[in-house]
Amino acid sequence: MSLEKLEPQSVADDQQLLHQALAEIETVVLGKSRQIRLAMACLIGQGHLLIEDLPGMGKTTLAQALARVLGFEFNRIQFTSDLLPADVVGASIFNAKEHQFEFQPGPVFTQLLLADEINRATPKAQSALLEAMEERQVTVDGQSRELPEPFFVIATQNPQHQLGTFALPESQLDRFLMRIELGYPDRTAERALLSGRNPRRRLEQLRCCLPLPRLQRLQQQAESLHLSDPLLDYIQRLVEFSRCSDDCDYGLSPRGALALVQAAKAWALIEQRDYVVPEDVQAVLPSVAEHRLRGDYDCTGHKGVSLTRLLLDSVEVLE
Amino acid sequence: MNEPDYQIPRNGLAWLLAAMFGALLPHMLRLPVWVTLICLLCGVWKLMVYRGRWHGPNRPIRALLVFGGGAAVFAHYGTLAGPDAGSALLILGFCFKLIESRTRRDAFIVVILGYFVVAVSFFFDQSILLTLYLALVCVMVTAALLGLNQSVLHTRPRRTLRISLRIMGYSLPMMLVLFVLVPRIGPIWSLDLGQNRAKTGLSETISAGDIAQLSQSSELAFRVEFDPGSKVPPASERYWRALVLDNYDGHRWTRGLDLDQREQVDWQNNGNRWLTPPLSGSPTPLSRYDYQVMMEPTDQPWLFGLAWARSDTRGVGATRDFRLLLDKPVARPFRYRVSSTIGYTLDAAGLPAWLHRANLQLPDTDPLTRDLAQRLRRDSSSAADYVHRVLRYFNQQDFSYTLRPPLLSGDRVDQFLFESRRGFCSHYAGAFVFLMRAVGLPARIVAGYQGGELNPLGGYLLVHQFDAHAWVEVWLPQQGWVRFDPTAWVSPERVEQGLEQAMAQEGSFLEDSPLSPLRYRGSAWITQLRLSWDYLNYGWYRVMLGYDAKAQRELLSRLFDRVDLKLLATLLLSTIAALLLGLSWWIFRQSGLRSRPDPLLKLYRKLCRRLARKGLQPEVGEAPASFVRRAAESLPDQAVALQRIARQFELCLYAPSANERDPQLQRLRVQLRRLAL
Repeated sequence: MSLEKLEPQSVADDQQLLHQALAEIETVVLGKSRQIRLAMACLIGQGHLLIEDLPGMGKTTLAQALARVLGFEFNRIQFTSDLLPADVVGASIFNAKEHQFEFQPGPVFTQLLLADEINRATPKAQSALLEAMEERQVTVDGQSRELPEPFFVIATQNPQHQLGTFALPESQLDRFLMRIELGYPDRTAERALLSGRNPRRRLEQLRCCLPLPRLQRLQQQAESLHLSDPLLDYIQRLVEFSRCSDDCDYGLSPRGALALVQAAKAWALIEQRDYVVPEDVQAVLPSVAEHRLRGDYDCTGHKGVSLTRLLLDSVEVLE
Repeated sequence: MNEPDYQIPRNGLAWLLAAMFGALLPHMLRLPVWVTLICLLCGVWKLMVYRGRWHGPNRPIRALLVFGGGAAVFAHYGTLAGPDAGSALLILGFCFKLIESRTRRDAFIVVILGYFVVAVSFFFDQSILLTLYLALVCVMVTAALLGLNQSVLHTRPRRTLRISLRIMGYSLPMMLVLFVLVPRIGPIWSLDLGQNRAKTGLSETISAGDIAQLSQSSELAFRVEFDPGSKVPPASERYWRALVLDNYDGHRWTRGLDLDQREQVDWQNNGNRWLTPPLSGSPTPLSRYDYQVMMEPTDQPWLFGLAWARSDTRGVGATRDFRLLLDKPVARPFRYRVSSTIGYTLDAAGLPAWLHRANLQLPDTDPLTRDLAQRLRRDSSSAADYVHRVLRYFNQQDFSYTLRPPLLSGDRVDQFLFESRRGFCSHYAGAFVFLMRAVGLPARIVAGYQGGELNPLGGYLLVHQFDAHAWVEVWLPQQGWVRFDPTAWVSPERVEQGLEQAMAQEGSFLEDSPLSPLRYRGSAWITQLRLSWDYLNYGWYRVMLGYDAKAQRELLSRLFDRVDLKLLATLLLSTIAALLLGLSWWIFRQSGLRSRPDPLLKLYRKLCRRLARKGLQPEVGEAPASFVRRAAESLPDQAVALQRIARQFELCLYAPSANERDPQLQRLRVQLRRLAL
């Protein structure tokens, strides 16, 4: 499906539906409009999303709300320390009746996978997701199996300093387009939450307002957004700064830079612009860069936040 | 040696080895074979050291190489000084330094030595081809220098070469300036360069009968360029005198009188009257020729000129026997100006007794010839008549001209005149002088060149070594010295058309040099090619090698009234300064082009300055539109305009309509102008 064939009317419709969807989610995840937009931008940018926060902050709710609003087929894995790769990707089981092995697809075979508390599982189980996330296929018993299209992973994790967590390796962190934090709701939002109906019930009532073809059109539209030379210069300066700065142990990878471009485009689309401005880049930069940057002696990776801040405060938008 | 050895980067080494080989190539023919072999071995050694297969030379081996090399050069040349031994030593040092270079500094020294080896080649040859070739080698040495400065990761030698070429290109203007303006000071020391390169067709002795086969060389002897307005003499008048031989010992002709000694030569035109030969007669102005001779080095002081030649070039003198002489051997291409007048009667009033005696000297040999002389003299009415009878004798008897004469012994003149009757110019000239002197007529052999090939491209004459010739001057009462060429009476073609025509039947013209293009004068295009090539060389000689202090003065005096060292220094420095300034300006502009200030950026900066007066500064990392919007919030009275400007900035900078940027920019300018802060 190509964008050129779409009627202008329909493009405007997509935009309308997109904001409708965002508004729907906001009725469930209260007062987190920015994070919801970022999460949506992540999906429009065709990347996986990592939500990191303390338990009970609404991570899972946000993931479920996204799945419902988009009408995705949706599976959830609760990662625990004794989770095995087969629990994620599936296994071949002997069928005694027909005397042969049959592949039982695991929960990963779905359009949207919610990997809950991903850092509670051992690295072995975590890496079961690696191939799935990057190549959108899994290999079991030497046979590669395609995952459904689209395939998104929304993973949640608890902060590193909590007990019983295994830090995600950098290679896996890099596969997440964005990492967002939800944070405590503000006073009015919490009041609304407390005084309102049971959120679980509301979640069940969410409508699917942005069906898959529409989302795909939005994705294509985002890809074709204009990225001017001054802006590319800015992005390159950001990346170079992260690589040259003494504070960073290592800088943003080319994949990171590409992620920044994808995310900024998606953000510009949500902002209803057909070109990307520096503010878009700045808006997505924390969620794109924080989990990719690491400072000296920074085993928990939490220096990324201040490094991103440094990046924003040190790199000129125009040379 | 525990310290880690410095490895020349791959590119540098590759080019250094290539440059080493290239710089050695012109020397290889000159140098003894063992030097070349040692150099190649050094190259291979360095390569093996680089590849980690062999070790570099340790201390004893280094000492052995240095002292052994010096001793070998001394053993070969008998000296360590002088251009040949010196260049051999330099080249050995260059190669040894290459293999023992252990630090970066050593590597740089090797490169500098490489330039030096290139420059030394010019001691021995300055031809156009060699110059072009050495320029190429210079490019390679420069590439080596670049390679040393590049990181080890540079592995594309071709790119290094390209940069090197570009650098050489950049240095061309500077080279031209230096060439034109650096004062030409005479050499501070003189190098004795030519001991083993005399290849003239002339020799100081002529001995008819010892040579069974005259070897000829197709090398150039000299070029003659006639002044505009002066005509070119006809072929039969092109007798270029160089030597006078007046002593015969029955075997060979030699120079009996030494008139070349310093005190006997008229070094100035107005100098010693005693030495100036008496002139008489009134030659027509038409018989005067003004020309410049550009001669190849001969390592002899003799110069060439038509009869009765005078020269005003410094260092050139005239001898009592009307020849031109340089005050030192001609060791490098030399150019001098001559004005010759044909038609003067020389020594008409009579010869001084010593000269008369010297030109009548004869050994007591060859009785048959003496008889013939007496017989002919008795029949003739006058001295002039006798000369013509002798010439007719040569003409009518069956004498023949050949380059392959039979060997003679005993009474050589008798044998030649009555038995073999075959010979070349020396035979005829010698026999003729013998016949003259036998009857008491003073006579002498003149050796020089006869003829010359006119190059229509430059209108100048080319005289080759095979044009070497010998003829005779006889002193006749009242007529003075008169030139006779007995060879012309035997073989008129030799004089009128040159050696080639004379030898057409015998086929012996240049038979020793089968590859010489001169052999193929029958082919029009080869001749054309050869003459064009010579014209190029001639231009090269005139413009490049002939650019001496005088030429420099002449060139500059067209622009300036007074040309002196001060002017030269001022010119040189100011031109170099101008060049460097121009170059830096160019570089500055070049880099400026890459990041020329964007008009939009300029507008933004200007707006920032205006807002700064209101106390608003953009934060680091703040996008222009954000800043302007922030400004709009704090300047409510201009909020609308600023909001609009912010949007316009965003459009201009980031919107896809790049081709519509000019109108957008214009709109922004208008909005900014209307903004009242």
